[in-house]
Parts: sequence; structure tokens; C-alpha cells
Amino acid sequence: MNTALAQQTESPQSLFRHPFARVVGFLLVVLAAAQTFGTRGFPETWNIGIAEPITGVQSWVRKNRSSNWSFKFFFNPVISIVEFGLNSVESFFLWLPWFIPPVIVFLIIARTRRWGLATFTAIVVIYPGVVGVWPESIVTISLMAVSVAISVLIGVPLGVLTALNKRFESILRPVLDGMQTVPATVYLIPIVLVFGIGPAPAAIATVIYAIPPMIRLTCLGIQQVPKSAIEAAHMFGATKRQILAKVQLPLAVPSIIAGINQTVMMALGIVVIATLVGAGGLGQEINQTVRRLEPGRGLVVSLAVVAVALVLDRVSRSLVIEPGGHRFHISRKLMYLTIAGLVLATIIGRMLGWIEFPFSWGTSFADPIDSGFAWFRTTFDVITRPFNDFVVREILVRAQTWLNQTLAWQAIVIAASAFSYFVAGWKMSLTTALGITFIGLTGRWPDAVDTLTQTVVAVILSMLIAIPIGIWLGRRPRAESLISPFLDALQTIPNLVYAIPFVMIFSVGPVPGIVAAVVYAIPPGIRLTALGIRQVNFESLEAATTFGATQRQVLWGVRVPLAMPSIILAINQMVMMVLAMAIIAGMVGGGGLGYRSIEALTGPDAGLGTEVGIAIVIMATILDRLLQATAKRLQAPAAN
Amino acid sequence: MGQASTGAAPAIELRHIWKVFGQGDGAKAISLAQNGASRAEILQQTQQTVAVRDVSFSVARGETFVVMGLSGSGKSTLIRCLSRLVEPTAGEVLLNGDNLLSMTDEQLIDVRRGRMSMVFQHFGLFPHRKVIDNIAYGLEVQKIDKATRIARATEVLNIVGLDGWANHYPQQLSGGMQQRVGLARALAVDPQILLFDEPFSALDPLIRKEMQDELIRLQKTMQRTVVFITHDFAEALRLGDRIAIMKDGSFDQVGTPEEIVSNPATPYVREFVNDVPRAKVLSVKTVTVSGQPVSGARTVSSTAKIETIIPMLLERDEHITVVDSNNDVIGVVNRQSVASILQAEQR
Repeated sequence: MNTALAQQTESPQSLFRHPFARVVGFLLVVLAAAQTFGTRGFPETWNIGIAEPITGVQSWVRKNRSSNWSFKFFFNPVISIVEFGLNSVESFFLWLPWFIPPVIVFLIIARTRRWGLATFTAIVVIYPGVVGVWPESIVTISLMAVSVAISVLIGVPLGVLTALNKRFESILRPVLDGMQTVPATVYLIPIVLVFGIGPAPAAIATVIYAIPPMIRLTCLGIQQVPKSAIEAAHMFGATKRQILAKVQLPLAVPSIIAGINQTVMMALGIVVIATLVGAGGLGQEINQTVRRLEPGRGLVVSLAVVAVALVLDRVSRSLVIEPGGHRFHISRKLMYLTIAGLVLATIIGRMLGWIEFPFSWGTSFADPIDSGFAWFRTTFDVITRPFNDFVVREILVRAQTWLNQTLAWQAIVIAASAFSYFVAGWKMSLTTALGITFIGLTGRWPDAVDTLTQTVVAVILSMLIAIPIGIWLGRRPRAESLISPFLDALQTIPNLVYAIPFVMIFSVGPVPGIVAAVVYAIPPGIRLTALGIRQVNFESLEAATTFGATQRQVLWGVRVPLAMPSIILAINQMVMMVLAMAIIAGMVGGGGLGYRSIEALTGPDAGLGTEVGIAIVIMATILDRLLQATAKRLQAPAAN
Repeated sequence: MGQASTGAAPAIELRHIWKVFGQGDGAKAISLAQNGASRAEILQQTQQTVAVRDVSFSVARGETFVVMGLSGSGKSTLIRCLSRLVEPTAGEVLLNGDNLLSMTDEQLIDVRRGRMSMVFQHFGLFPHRKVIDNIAYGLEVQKIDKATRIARATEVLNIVGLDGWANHYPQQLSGGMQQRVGLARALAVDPQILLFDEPFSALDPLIRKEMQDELIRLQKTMQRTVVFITHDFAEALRLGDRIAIMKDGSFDQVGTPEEIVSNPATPYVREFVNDVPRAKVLSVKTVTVSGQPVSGARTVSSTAKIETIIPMLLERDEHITVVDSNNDVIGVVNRQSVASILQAEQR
């Protein structure tokens, strides 16, 4: 209540009521002045040189990598240990006869009595073998196994600490939040610097990228333990350690497993980017198909990544079963028998030499897809080429010229901060002004403008597609339940894969990146919009209907306005997804910050990487906060 | 800490307990409250809430003391102060004369392991443990070996009538059964003091009645010192040897059920008393008038409830002789005296 009041006095609503016209007039004058006297494009000489000290650190690291104690006694041993882990897991799986993993997966899932799912998942395990990427899959799975194991070893204790220690939480939480907006390519740079390039650094990079959900969900699990259970434990004289070990941790297990699950998904999500640091496996295969423009093979290999994701997801879900839930009771004897059987099968398999996957149909799947795309390209060239040209020449180039050459940068800053002021108050206005100026000072103004225009185009396209579909689906729960598994599947595909077909169709440039970003961003957009529409208060709808509103009036007069906050959040989410795609766009010729980040990573050029990282984080933060504030603004009258 | 114990000390004694929630030490809030400021005024001035204000009481060994109050009255905070699940802002808590609030964490854990245990409103069971392991929990934290604790837990399981449910999980049981598990868990450690925090309020009325009967039955044989929190006045009357009526953090009245029903101290207490069927609570003594006992007439004990003599008076309109515990005649009751007290109920 108090905070609401404080916000109202702070918010500029009073300005609306009073001399609104005067404020707007004043703004226009300031803008006109800025436009007249300001400079076009951010002055290059104003670069404050963030890159230099970091490049200094980089060259120091280069020189001292073999001599400094921190490398000798910490970083290098860490690498050796991780490398050893990777090699062991990898050689174990390569040594194992191919039919053992599907059997194990089947047994684990069958324990929950879901025979169909168990059979299906076991078949999915075989898929990578069928398409001829069995060894690559093993490399990727080993990378997953090792990085997820490290994530658990580090993430669970950190999560527990976060849950139990307020001060630690207040330090760690902003770090975790920050990690989610910094593009992976950017914080891979310090890893490359310190650990070098290769599979082990890739595993460490994957850990750093994928560990936040592990920490968050462990923390959540501990915090969600019913207070009454903790109180009861206290009351029976349990020590803090006993409560943690016997009450909190066991009750947090489902949440911890969910964390592992999320971590696996995150890790698979950067499987392609990890190849830039030296990971092999499926990611490398996909990367090559993009370079060779083989969408068919790209798709087939990407499905192998999806298969790995699906299997790991199902298996980890089957491991958590509610206490007293429905599952087979397995006696110790049966367990030993099963293990003995598996060992025997392994020995026989080895003796018969059934180790490598016996056949491969990879190209026979891929070729028709490739020729299909080639056909599509030539047939629809009349549409795709004009579309491509239109987007590039008429939208992107024009917008960039406008922002870089027509408008003075001072005018842009003032306009943006004025907008922020009206949406979110003076603090946000200041943040926006300083943030945008700072991007200029890092020397990344032109790249940021490039990325921003692409982002805006992609977001607008996503909105035009996702919001109408979401509104339509929100009122049709059955249709939604049919579509949602499909939307889920779309989200597990590594985002580079989205780009492959569009590179084929539109050829290299910004457009395939934009289209891929749109395809990548619309599932959550549809989801959130539909959710908002569906959750509109039933009574409000009934009321509108009893007053004789038509279906259409109910939709546009009640449902959509009440779902507005949710729709804004959908837009917000789409902005974040599109920005995340900027890196991929860079890989397929999109230019902008995404391209710079890859340049920085492959350099490696830590200075450039830092500049790019700062610019992207500032952009993401400003866009995110502005949209969140808009959503809140729309929600406020509803809450009152 | 054993030195401080004396045989004469009450099982539980609370002296001037205060609990202030919010930032800061609460000294200002307490002094405001002592000068008569209301909760709302204190909240406005200090951003703090006075949940318990200056509560003192003692409970004798084997006595059942019920604290009755509506939600927000501070009763749950009070019982948590008493067990130090919540640290009181000021005051003293003595268990058999031992100062609970000055104990170290180790001593406190010791007290909780051996001397008191608690039954919770929402049961506070551990969903990841079977019924038997829930009951054995208090013994497990004391590192008692598995065979012993399972044997003891099974014994208590039978006492609360849950034989055969040992290997189920709590969420597979009905609410009433779950609270039996909660009760069994508390009894398993054989505590001197049992604390009940609205244990039956989440249960259906019929099950609640059944659980109350169960508790009365157990208490008859076990004679624990019980502090029982409830928002149900009828429950307080049924279970309590003495009752405290709590409002806005302090006690409005403390007394036996009979004292409270026959003589409510404040209008607030009267509100509750008005709905009570007096004949079930008041004893014959309260309606006894002076008068000549009719020779050869019926006699009744002065401690019997009024409801027991109503059929007798309906049968024959004659004085009934009232005798005390020594069988000495202290007066008589008749239709008029009973009717007048029952009529007071209608006001």
C-alpha cells in the first residue's frame, strides 16, 4: 500500500493532469535544439577506451600462461581434471556396445510403468546412430555429462548457501540475473583467455552458462520446504545440520532434479557456440553444415541434439517420483540381477564386436531435404528475393541511415530518456540516457544501431505473428494443448539450426538472421499471449456477455485489454529472445554486435568482447525495464 | 541447568512476555504499549507490530492450559515464544524453574529433545517420510538406534489407533489420521510438556470432536502438562482445566471454564460466553441456594454439571440436596434456581 502511494507521488501522472502540453512543448524545443546543434552519429573520438586495459590483461595472460602460479597450480590442473573426466566418459561410451544405452534408458523409464514412453525414448536413443552421428553424439553426451556433473557439484552447495544465507543471496542473485543477459559468446572470452581452446575449456564454458538454473532451483527447493516441517524439526531438537540433511535437502530433491533438467537444456542450447571454443561433437557437425549450406544434414544432425535433449529430459524426470507414488518396487535382489544382466550383455556384445552402430542412413534422410530446399529457393525466388531486398534496402538501411546520419545522437538520447520518463519515471529516464551515451563512449554506437534496427524489425514481425495467434489460441484450450508440445520442441532446438533453412532461402545477410529470430521468438510470445487471454477473470466475461456484448466485443473490449500486461510481457520475452539470437545472426552474416562478438571470441579479443558485452547488456536491460514498466503501468488500474 | 530446578516450581511459567515484530529492538514499541498506545498507533509510529503484550501465566504439572483467541490475537506467537521457536522481545520463560531464554542453542536443543514437544496446526509432517519414520523423527535426531525407535514408534502408533498405517506416506492419509500421526510423533519422545498449536482447527467438526475425545482419554492416563491453543471456545471449555482468553496480544481473562462462563470479565469474553450452553459447563454449585434439605430426598454432588440434574427436576418438582466432596450438605437446588441461570443465557 505504502509503496503504491510512493510510486504514485513519484510517477509523472501529475504532469499529465497539469500542464501536459507545456511539457511536450518544452521537450519538442529541446529536441529541436539537440537536432539542430548536435552531431550526427556518435563522435568516434569520444571513445573512452575500455578495450585497452583489458587487452593489456589479455597480453599479460598470454605471456604468463605457462609461468604464473595461478595457472600452474589452479587453472591448468583444473583443465587436466576436466579433460580426464571428458576422456573417461567418452571412451567408456565408445567402449560400450551400442545397444546398452537404449536398454538402460528403457529400464529407468519403465520403472514408472509408462511402457509407451519407455519404448519411444529407447528408440529415440538409437536415432543418432541411425542417421550416422553416433560417435559425435557420444562426444556431445560426454560434454553434457561432465559439465552437468560439475554444475551439480558446484551448483547445489551454492544453491543451499543462497537459500540459507540472506547476505550471500543478495550478492549472488544480481550476478545470476546479469549472466542471463550477457551473450554467451562474450563471457566465453575470459574462459578462452584463461583456459585456452579445446574440449575442456568448452566444458567449463558450458558449466558457467548452464549453472544458473541449478543454483536457482536448488535455492527455490530449499526455500519451498513447508515452514511447518522445519518448525516441527526444530521443535524435536534437530540441529541445523540435521534439518538440512534430513528435511530440507530430501524435500528439495524434485526441485534439484528440475534444476539438473534445466541445466541440461541450457547446456544443449549452447552446444553450437561451444564449438567456437573447441568442443567437437554434434555442435561442430551443425556448424559445418551451416558453412557448407547443407540444411538437410543440418536438420538431421540438429534432430540428434533434440533427441539427446529429449532422452536426458525424460530420464531425469523419471528419476523423481513422489513419495508413495506409482512405481515398481524393486527389491535389492532384482536390482543386482538387472545389473548382472547388463554386465553380461556388455561382455557378450564386446566379444561379438557389436560396438559401433551397425548402419547409417544419414544422407538418405538429408538429401531429399536439401533438394527440397533447393527447389523451394528456385521456385519462390520471385518472392524471397524481393522480400530480402525490401527488408534490407527499404527498412534496415533506411533506419540505420536515419539513426546514424539524419538524427543527432543527442536528440536520440533525449527522446529515449523522455520516453523512459513517461513510462517508468525519472530514475529510468536517467538510466536510459546514461546507458545509451555509454554505448557511444565504448565505441560501439554503429554496431548497436545495426543490432537495434534488426531487433526492432524482428520484434515487430514476431508481434504481428505471435500476438494474433496467441489471442486466437487463448480461447481454444484444446487447440492450444495440441500445439504446445510442438512449441516446446521448437524451444529445444539449438538456435543456430533455425538459421540454416533461412540462409538457404535468403542467402547470407541480415534477413535469414531476422527470420530465424522471429521463428525462435514466437513460441514464447504465443504462449504468454494465450495465457493472458485464457486467464482473464471469468466473471468479467460473463458480465460483458449478460450486458449483451457480442463475441467480438467481449474479445476486444474485455479480454484483450485485461490480457494487456501479459501481452506486454510476451513482447518483452520476444525482445530478449531476439537479442539472444543476435549472435547467431552474426554467424550468418547479420553484422552488428553479434558479428563483433564472434570476431572477439575467435580472436580472441577480450577488449572488443567487453565492449560488445557492455553494449548488449545495456540494450537488453533498457528494453527489458521499459517493457516491464509498461506492463506494470497497464496492470496497475486492474490491481486497484 | 539442573541446579535451578525445584520441586515447587510450576511446569511452565511465563513472566511479562512481549513480542514485537519488525525492524529494530522493539523497546520503543513496548514503552508506547505500556503507555496505553493501541496496536495501530504503534504500527504507525514504529512500523512494528506488538504481537504479544505483557503476558504472564503459569501452568502446573499435569494441568491443561488452553489459550483461546481469534486469528491475529497473538496466540500462535505466544506458544512459539514459549518454545522459543520465536524469540520473545522481553520477559522470561521458566520450565520447572529453568530459564529457557538464557539457554545456549545446545541446551535448547536438549530441552526440545527430552522435555517438550509440539503438535502443529497444519500437522507439520514430513512428506518424504513414511508414517512410522515421521513418528520416530524425534528419536532419530537424538541418535537412538533404529530398532529401539521403530519399536517405540510402533507402540505410540497403536496408542493413537493407527496400527497398520506405518508404511504409508502422510499425504495418503485423511486429515484426522494425519493429525494422529502428529500427535503420535509428539508422544513418541515421551515429553513432560505437550504444546498444541490449533491442532484440530483444520479438521471437520465430527473428526475434531473425535480427536478431542482422544486427547481427553490420553490425558487421563498420561497426565502431561499441556498448553493448547485454539480459536474455538467450545473446544477450550471441553479441554481446559484453565482457559485464557486472548485479544490483541494480551489476556482478557484467565480462569476455569466455570469461572469464565459464570462471570465473564469483559464484554469481549461475554460475546463468547453468550453462545455457550451453560448447563453443560456450570456445576451444580453455581445454582445452589440455601434451603432445608428434604429428608430422604435425592442428593447430587456440587461438582456435577447442571445438565445432569435437569432430568431429575423435570421428573419431580422437589428440592435436590447438594453435597460437597466430604458429603456435607451445602444447600439445595430447585427448578427456580436452575431456570434463573439458564435464562441468563438468553440475554
